[in-house]
Amino acid sequence: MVQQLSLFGYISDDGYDLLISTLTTISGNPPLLYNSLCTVWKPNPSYDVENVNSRNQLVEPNRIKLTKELPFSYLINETMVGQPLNFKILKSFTNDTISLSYVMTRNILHNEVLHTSNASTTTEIKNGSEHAGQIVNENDIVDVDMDASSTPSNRSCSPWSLQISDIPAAGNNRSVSMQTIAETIILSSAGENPSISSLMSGFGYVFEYQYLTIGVKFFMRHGLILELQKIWQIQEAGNSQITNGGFLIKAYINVNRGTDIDRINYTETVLMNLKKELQGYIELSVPDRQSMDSRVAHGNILI
Amino acid sequence: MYSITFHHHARQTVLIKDKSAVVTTAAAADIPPALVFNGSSTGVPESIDTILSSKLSNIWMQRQLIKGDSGETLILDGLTVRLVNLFSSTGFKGLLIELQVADEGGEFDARVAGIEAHLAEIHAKDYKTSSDSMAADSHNDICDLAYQYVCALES
Repeated sequence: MVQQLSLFGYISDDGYDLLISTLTTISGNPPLLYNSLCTVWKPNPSYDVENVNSRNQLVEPNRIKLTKELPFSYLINETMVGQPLNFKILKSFTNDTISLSYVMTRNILHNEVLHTSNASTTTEIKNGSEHAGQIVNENDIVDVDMDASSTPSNRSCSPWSLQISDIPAAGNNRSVSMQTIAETIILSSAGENPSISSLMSGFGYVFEYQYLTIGVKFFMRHGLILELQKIWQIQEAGNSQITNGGFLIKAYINVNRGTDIDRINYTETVLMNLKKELQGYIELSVPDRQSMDSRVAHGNILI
Repeated sequence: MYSITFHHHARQTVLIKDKSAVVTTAAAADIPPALVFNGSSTGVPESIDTILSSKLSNIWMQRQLIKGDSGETLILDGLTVRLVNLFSSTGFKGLLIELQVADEGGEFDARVAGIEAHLAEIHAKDYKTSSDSMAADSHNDICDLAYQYVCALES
């Protein structure tokens, strides 16, 4: 059980360059580009599961979050192909457009396309966007990916991290948001139906929604990580950028054990120092804990 | 659903349900670096059993726990033999023998027959063997091993 202590902020697109150089100076490290595809699963509504377990303890049904990285070749379009992959590329993503389509993510979740980066990914993307919005049957997928490595022996799913988060800790005068996260790593799969979606339905969970994050991160002292994120919701009807016109700023530190009070207090001080340092420029604040509640029963609509 | 944790395979846990298996790990060293870098993983994973028995305990309940403690590994001329006594909460469940040859063409069947002959010698007739693979077209060693455990132990 990891405790994640975090603060959030917001900056507009115009302020991006200045913020990058400011943070590079503060952290002493260059910005690093990253991306993640996050899929959220909820308990299958067709099962009537009680909220108590065999020991008569209350267990609230939580959403499960599955996250993985994607090859950048999935995300950039033709005009960006020649550009170096660094923080500048984020400035090109100013609207809802992103190469990743719902069909591609569905293929990832159903293991229909190999997801390792290879030479054929560029054509894959092209074909993928051509097929966007249509129903792609398996024959199309075979055409898309004629790579020798897509033989059935590679049908295993790629690594995912599986997380279940608690609602952030309560309290009126909290200076930072503190959330407990339980996590395990899925390495591979095998068998008759090895796709990640069939594994999740085996658990009793169904797909709910997904989002893509592209961002830059700074590794700072004391294990502090600062991220500037652009977030897209990937839907069947089309993609939409949630962070339109700006960037979400997330500053966080993970504390390995929730019982390590000393470490948590220290970490809180580190985050407060960062907040003080950036005061008047970026306002880092504690998000509404309701908005970070992953429980299903409370009818909370997350996005 | 079966969950098998192999302490001799880097504490990886295999979950088997409906002839499909998933390999999970609770060892921080086994997390793919890409997942840690992009913040997908916090770097401190726990075992899937812990998650099933805490967060998902309203859906999943542990019915039986079979544990093999202090087993022995013998290497006999290219054949690895692992022996362990299995216990459940009600008592002794049996002796598990895992046989493995290092190289592909290592006359595996002949060696299994040899072990079976030994078992016949000591009048142990009531045993089950399994060398099945989960799916004919794909091979994942640890999943196949877990599946063989399940097949051999299922009664």
